[in-house]
Amino acid sequence: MDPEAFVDAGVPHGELLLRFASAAQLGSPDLGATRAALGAAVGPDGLIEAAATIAIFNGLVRVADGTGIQLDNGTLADSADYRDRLGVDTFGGAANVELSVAANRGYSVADFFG
Amino acid sequence: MTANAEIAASREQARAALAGPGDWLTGAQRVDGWHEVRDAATNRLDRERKQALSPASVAGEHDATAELSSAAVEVVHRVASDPGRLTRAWAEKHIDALGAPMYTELVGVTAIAAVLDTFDLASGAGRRELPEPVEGAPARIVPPDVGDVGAWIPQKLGPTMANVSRTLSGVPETNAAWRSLVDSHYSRGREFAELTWNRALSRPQTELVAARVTALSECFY
Repeated sequence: MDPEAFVDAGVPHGELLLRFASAAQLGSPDLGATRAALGAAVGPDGLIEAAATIAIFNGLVRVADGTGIQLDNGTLADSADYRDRLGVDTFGGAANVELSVAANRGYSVADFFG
Repeated sequence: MTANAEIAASREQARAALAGPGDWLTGAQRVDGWHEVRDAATNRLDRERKQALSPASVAGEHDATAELSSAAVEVVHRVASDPGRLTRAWAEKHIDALGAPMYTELVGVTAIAAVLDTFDLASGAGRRELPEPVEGAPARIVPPDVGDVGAWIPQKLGPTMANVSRTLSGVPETNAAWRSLVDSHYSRGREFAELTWNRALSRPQTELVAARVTALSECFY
């Protein structure tokens, strides 16, 4: 994963959002300037939401990897093509995944976070 | 209450929860764990492991603190500094040493501390001092409905929610603070199922940020 890759993802202010996420994640010296630029683009509420997203996913990756959860039923098959294209299967945590999980989810998307 | 007010309120609740007694750890132990999360950002051993092809190839171990055993400090430091390369063998070694409930709580404390400190960094609010520990006894409750669902530690049984949502279900006190953070910072109840969000950021904007963070963390899940 190249933290300096800032492509247009087809999302409004996508490049700024990626720059902000990378700067915060890496503790980059230009975090302040990136924060100011994003705040000017999306407003103070948008900036808070971006910071909240970065923050909560710093927790989510730790509870997921720290407890060794498996991919949910259905996710393994659904994600096979883009996992391969994005190189996700090369992540270290892939070695912890049981590959024979069921093909169908046992819950609705609305129940994802319970 | 506005969405951003809910974020602020849940952060204060989580900060207070980390200062007080939890499931199996005292308030002093939880605050000490938070201190170790901060130390992991600059710790020499953690850096050497992070840079190594395999973290197991780097000799050394973390010392115990006044409040936490060496095994507990190791769990906090590895989960804080290099979570994407944890292995079942490493986890089982520390679960054997600590017990699954305490191991789970240490993961939760680490995650909550990471959320609180990362928000302060990202938003520009500035890092706060650690809270003073609150005295009291841990709850020491093992929920009756947890068991083996394929993770390294017991979690809530039944296909009622995604695995990531029940990671800390074996430690209810810690889980309550954790799930409040998740709800206020990201999922917001049933709104999670909607593809269009009525927020300052659109759902694609939010998911773009989330994807960048998880990719940099090399989180397979």
